[in-house]
Amino acid sequence: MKWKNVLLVLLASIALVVLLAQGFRLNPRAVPSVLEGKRAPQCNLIGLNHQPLALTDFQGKSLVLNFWASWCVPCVHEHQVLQQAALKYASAVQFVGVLYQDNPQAAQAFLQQYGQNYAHATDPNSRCAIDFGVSGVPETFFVDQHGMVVKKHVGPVSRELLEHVLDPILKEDLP
Amino acid sequence: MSVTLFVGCCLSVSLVVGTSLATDTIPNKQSSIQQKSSKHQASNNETNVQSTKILTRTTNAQDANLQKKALRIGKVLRCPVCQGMPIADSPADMAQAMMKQVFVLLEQGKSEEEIFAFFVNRYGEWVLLAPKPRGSNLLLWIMPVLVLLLGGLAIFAYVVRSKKAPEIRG
Repeated sequence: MKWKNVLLVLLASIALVVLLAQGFRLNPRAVPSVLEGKRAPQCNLIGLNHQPLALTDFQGKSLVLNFWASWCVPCVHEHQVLQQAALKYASAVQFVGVLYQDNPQAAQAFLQQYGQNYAHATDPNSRCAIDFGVSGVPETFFVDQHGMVVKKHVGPVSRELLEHVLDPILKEDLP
Repeated sequence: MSVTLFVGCCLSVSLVVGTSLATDTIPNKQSSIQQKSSKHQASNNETNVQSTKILTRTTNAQDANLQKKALRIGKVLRCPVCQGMPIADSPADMAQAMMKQVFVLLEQGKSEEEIFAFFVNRYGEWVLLAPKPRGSNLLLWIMPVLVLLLGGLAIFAYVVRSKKAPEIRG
């Protein structure tokens, strides 16, 4: 009887440890994306050059939509990675930076300091951020040439991640 | 003693299962890193003013009903930045932008259900502070009652047993 109880306690403890191990690997602040596999929302943005910029302008091209802000510290390192990738994939992928809860002047200063070789835009009333279900920055959405959201990435992107996501999209896009 | 231990373990496991299910319904990946400069923090402090502006807009339009509706909806929608707070109470810029969107949708004549659907389509059911009691969400509603019942039964069984024990000895 005593051994039976010990065994039960042991089993319950193992179950508890397994559940805790599973739970602690999850990030409690991450917001799951419901957009993956769905058509990307069509945002009407305002470019930092004050010209309207719609995502439909890039129809037929794969898109990397990066929500960022000049006050976001991880965005600084990520910016360098995106800059290099924008050059590497220039012929097939359009990179667009969307300002999140930031003012254009601060963004301009950031871009002057760290460089700019792809389009950046402001998001009036955060409408695009809401449509993409953004919860913070940096967040990046990968859209294929058919306008479907392939992946959402929360946190700064790495060169490896960009290659991992973009290379298969580009292979599929080849005629 | 071992019975108490066993009951304790059962309760803990049930609680963890409940929590893990809740986590499944809420978040599951790495979160956004939100490190703001002091400048942005200052702008956050001004959000209450923005909120008042939104409210004043409707008050000026003498549409108290719209304002009431928007606040009621805002109390049910989760702020994606603060997460534990409804957008109606959150000072975060994003929550204020969402609140503004609620007003826009109400002004367009959308119903409460349509507005909830608008946000659920973008953020998933996660955005609702009270997940609808259906599918695996049902467990979230049933689990606390189940744990309470099991715990009560276990305590009852323990008390009955410990009362019986001296009689056997005697």
